Amino acid sequence: MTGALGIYNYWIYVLLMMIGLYGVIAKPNLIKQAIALGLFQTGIFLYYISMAVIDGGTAPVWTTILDGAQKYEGPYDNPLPHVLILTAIVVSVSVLAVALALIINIKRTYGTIEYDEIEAMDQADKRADYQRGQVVDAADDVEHKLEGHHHA
Amino acid sequence: MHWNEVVCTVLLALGCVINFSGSYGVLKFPDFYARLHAAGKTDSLAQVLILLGLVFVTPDLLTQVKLMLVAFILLIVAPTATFAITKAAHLDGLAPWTRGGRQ
Amino acid sequence: MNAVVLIDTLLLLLVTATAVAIIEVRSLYASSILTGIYSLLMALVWVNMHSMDVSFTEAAVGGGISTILLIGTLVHVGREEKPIKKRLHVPALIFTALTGAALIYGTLDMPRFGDPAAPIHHYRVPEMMAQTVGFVNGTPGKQKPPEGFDVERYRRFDGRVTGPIPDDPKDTAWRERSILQTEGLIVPQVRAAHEPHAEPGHHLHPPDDFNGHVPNSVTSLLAAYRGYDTMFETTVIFTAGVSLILLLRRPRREGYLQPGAVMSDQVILRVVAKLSIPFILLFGFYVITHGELGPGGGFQGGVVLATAFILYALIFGRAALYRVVPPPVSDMLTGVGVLIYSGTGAVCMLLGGKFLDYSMLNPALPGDGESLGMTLVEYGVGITVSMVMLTIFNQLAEERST
Repeated sequence: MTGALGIYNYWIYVLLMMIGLYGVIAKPNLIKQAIALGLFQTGIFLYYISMAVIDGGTAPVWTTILDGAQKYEGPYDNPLPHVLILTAIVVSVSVLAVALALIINIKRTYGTIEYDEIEAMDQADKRADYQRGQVVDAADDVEHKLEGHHHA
Repeated sequence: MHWNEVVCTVLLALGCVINFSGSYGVLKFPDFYARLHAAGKTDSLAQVLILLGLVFVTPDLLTQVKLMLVAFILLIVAPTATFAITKAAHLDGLAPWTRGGRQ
Repeated sequence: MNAVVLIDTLLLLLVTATAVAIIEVRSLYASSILTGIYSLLMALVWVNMHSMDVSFTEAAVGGGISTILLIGTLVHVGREEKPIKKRLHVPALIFTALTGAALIYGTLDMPRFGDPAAPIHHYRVPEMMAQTVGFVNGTPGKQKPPEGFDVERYRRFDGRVTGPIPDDPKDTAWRERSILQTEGLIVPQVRAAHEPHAEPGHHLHPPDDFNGHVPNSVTSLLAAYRGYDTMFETTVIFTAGVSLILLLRRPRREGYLQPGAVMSDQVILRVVAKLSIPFILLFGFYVITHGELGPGGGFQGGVVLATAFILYALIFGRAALYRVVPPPVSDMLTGVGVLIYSGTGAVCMLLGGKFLDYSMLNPALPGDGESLGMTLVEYGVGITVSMVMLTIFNQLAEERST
């Protein structure tokens, strides 16, 4: 209970967050990135719940109200982090669902869900647009010259 | 030690041993069906043993009934899930492993 | 070393190993299944830390719904990750190592795991533990009990308030006396019964406004103390459902249904599903209703209810599900849940209290009013969550395979 094990939980939370972060950065697959984001969130959940624990504590349900005979006044874990994380978990699944819907739309549009391929396609599109833009600019230029000629 | 604690310890230990053998089988068996066989069979027995063991040390009657209900429901649902997974694999065309690689 | 720390240490090692496997495994299908295993392990970790409600939610949401959603998506986008040449992404590794080192340096100042002297266990927690909504006697900010209401009987029923309580809320000598009496306990749970606030920043908060008169403090914090927060979390979930409809729903003329595999010709699955679906529904309503007495509540119960519908769709096909819950109905019910939540708050205002001040629902017995209000609100949350989960499932399954 003393020494390094005392903050062991916080090290694991950092580890889980960093595994998630590594996944988000290093993996080009969008589904993998969504899952890694979930890991990152779970690390934060672990941090919150670990703070709520107290030595010799128990779940924060007041049994004295239900049964006056079983009077327990010992320490309870702090319920507030539980409340925060309870809602955060349900919100995280909503985030996952919206991410998956976007991924399906990306697959429909690009035909792939690998980030680097999407990036390459976007670059190619941009190059094509740029070249077309050059042409348009040139046309403008010609028009401008014509206009100038007309004025002259 | 009271007698119910002895019974509980024996049941929990049995459940843990069976669970362990199931996990070993999942790692050791050659193909999907055999692994699922190990996991499914041992899981349903191990969970019933563990839950029954816990029934013996629970002081509260309501909690005891709840534990037995959980054991009963798992006894119905767990084999069904195993069946569904196996059937899906079969319909998907996964061939079982045979010695010599022939079917 | 106590048992909590021992189990915690071992479980977290397993969790970390699973997390590494989730990121590193090539097959997205295996990665999704591992995510389910990871969530179940996390649920065990939460149980070990006595966080039953979080564990319940994690098991239902992480182990159940998100795995279904991930696998449902993989049907459309393919099972395998594209093979990459370099297995190890060095810049990402350096970046995460540096960030992790900074965070670990930060944790060195944290109080140790389970330390009773940690600030989180003292700041306003004794007041929360000893809160007593429902009866008031000279406490600032609370209503007076009505005529003929036996305060003493109600206080005995509460059973947690011990010792004499001063009539004058500004009797700070009493406070110091009671602190001295309970000094040496790990947490002086009873110390601050009816204690007026010492901090100048919190005079507007009556000491009793933490939660209602229900045993499960997680539910009462969720629905009363953080009532606004929970209302808008529900709205976030509602928004997610609407986003899924906007992103994926096809025009009505193309029809809702695409042909899909139906498992209803499997006798065993059909029988067991028909047998278990009523019990799953019953359990969902039990979890929602029982949320103020034990672990559970609207979020968990809503997910359980959604699971019953999803099981029905998996076995009998979505055509059968659409006969039971047509899409217009489920779309409408997602909004109805939020409406019930905010409507409860509005009713409290109409009865003369503040928004979401549930004690107004039963002025004669404010504690019962709190209980009633929380149940209503939990049902609102449950309806929204279940219908949004169902909508998400339907939209992901409806998408035509490409």
